[in-house]
Amino acid sequence: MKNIVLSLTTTLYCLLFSSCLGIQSSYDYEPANIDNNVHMNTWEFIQSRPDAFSSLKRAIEHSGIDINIYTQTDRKYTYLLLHNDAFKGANGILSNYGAASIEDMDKETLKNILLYHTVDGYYHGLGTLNFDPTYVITLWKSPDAFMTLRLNNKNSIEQYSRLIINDMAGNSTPVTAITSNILTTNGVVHVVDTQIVYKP
Amino acid sequence: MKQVQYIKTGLLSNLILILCICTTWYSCNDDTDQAASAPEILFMNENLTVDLNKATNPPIVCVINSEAGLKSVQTFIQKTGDVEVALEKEVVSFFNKYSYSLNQTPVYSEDMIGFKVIAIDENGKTTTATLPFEVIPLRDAPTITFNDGINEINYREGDVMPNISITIESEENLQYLVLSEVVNRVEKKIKINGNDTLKFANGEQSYILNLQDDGFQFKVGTTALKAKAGAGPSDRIKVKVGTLKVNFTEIPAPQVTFDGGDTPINADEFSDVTVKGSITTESKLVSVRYLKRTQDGLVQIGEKQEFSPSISSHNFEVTLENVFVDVTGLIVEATDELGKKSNTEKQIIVKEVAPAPTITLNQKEKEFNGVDINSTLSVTGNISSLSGITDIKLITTTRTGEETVKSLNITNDKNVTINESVTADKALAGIKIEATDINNKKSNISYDIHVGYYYHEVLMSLDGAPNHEDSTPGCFFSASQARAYDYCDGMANWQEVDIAFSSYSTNTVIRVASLKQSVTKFKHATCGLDKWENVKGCYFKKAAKIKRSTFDQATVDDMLAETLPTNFEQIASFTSGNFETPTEDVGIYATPINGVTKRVIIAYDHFVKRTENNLAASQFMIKVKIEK
Repeated sequence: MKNIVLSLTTTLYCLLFSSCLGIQSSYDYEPANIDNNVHMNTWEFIQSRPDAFSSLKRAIEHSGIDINIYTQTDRKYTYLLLHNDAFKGANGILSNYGAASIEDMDKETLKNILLYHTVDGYYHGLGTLNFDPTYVITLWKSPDAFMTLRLNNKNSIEQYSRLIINDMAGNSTPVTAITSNILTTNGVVHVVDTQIVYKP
Repeated sequence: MKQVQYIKTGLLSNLILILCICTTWYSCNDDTDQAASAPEILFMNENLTVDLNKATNPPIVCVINSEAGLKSVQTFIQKTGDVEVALEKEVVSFFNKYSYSLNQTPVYSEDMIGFKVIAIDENGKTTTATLPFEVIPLRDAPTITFNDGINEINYREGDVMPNISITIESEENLQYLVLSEVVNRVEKKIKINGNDTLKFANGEQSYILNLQDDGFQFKVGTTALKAKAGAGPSDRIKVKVGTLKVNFTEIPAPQVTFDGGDTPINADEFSDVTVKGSITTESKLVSVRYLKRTQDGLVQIGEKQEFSPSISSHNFEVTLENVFVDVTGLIVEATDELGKKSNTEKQIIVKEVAPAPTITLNQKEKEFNGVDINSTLSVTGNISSLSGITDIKLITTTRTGEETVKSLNITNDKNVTINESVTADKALAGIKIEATDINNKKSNISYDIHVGYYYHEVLMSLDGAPNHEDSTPGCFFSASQARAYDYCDGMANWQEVDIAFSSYSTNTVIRVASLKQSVTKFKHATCGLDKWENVKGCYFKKAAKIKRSTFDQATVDDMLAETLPTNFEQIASFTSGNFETPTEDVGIYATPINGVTKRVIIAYDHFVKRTENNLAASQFMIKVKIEK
């Protein structure tokens, strides 16, 4: 009898602990992906990749933008980080604004570019975006700060599910992210090699 | 007893455990997070500026974030007077219930004051946010003012042009100004500084145009002056059209009034006719002239009468002396200071009291076609006249145009018998009898004469298909019958047909040749030349000396002087470039007529009819001389 009570008690304890494990969310097979988390905030991530973001880092520092935008943890932001290539070339930011170097650029202009490339919200291709353009709010408070995000539904291994910015937004030229869905501790990072510009 | 105690203790502890399990499960279940904050609504800006003057306005973009997950989102347009209008149906289904983005472009109006969003999460927490609108209302179109506000203006033709100033004012920048005048219901642009459209490029918001600076003048029939002005941004120009009504009083041309009104004047031939009347004008009369209308045209009577200084009215009296029957009226042409002319005609009916002499000849024209060489031609008949004959002439003409005139005796000036004879030498081309009476009225009768040959004009075509809808005369020619034949007629009378007409495929050149020059050219399903059992062979060639320009002058000797052809191969081209431009080519050949070989010369005369649906059916005339 003593053993029966002991067994019943043990079973109840097992049930007690198992209830704290949460319920199974899905029966579907979910493949294991490479971990997108970089376990650092976005500013630390920018600094950790000078090969890609040295120009962006200089732009952030030159513009006078509040660095806290890239370090804060109060909100989840979507960071559209400008790759070094976005500053160079005939269609690069420097050329577009007639500047010889980042330090020659107008600070307010540069600041607005960086604010436009920071979206208030957590948008990534891991469940928050779909194939339809989604209007988002950027940190640049301007009537010209429209932006849409969507995933590419093109039937192509290289293109499918890639992030497209400003597709079907006025007369803007859509920009496709070259790298997407890098999860930092304060948001998600998508990398673009072209400046995103809204054209009504 | 101890065993019962065990059981009681065990059951109690298990009951406690079950309670703990329930409590723990409830605390661990995170399906609904009651601690989650209410939905967060984000707009792009703190307010939205809407300019109704622009062609397009920005959409409303709004993002709603919810930690607990959204249950519903409602949107409203707020209007003045505490009015809220639902913009769309309530949204209750979300792709991502934690973040929802909306994009709306309502039809903006001046009474809109904001955009309101109500978001409710799955915990029932509600957030309401409003995006205030700043609406810039539609600005008025530009204003157009004529001469400080007049709507109409009176103008009498001939007066000095009044000063007209057009003032355009606008709250926005002027873009352009176009002026036009309506004349006889037709609107025509008026040039401003030499251009149809005056364009503003310097942000002008007002402009004054003085029409007299450009020498503008109202025209007869002007009913309105219109100004069209555009202002505002180039993508949304507001247009205003201003109209100045013009009461144009036209000055009529001089008024001519004849005594007796419109009743014609009847007069006998050779009498004097006097026409009286008056001329009045609202403007001044500067000149008058009088014109006699005859069958040959207008003849001015006397000098043009000019008035200096000009006068308001004038009485006239014009006498036409010794009028003939060809006089049909008198025209009074009056001109005023404005250059306006009036042509008013008084009809005159002249009764012929003495007609021209009447000539009657016994011979018919066909009697002079194909007369024998050196034969004697009789010219007989009589001439009668009521007035009295004063002169009779017999005029003979040669092929080279030389005339010989013979005056005939007048035995009775009221009736003269003619009994003349003329020798038909080879050069004789025509005879003419001409009589003149005492009033100098003349009459004549004349005949062409063809000596040693027959002359014919024949209608031809290039298409010989029988029963053709154009009823073409045919492309085959027969000298013995002096007519054209179509395919079937030609096949039935093959022995009569000499030559054939054809054209290039481009249908520009009319050619003529022997039938045997190209038998296959004249194909037809039933009657084409290729179906004829016999084809008459006439040698054909282009005449060496006789040209189209000398064809009429050619005598029978000229025909005989030509060298005859010796083969079927030659052709003549009667036109070049099209069917209507003749060449100098004349064709010659010989063919048996009534068993005797006769020479034939043939030339293009003139074009008759172009048949566009079948150019080959087009018709033309040829002229032919056939040796007698």
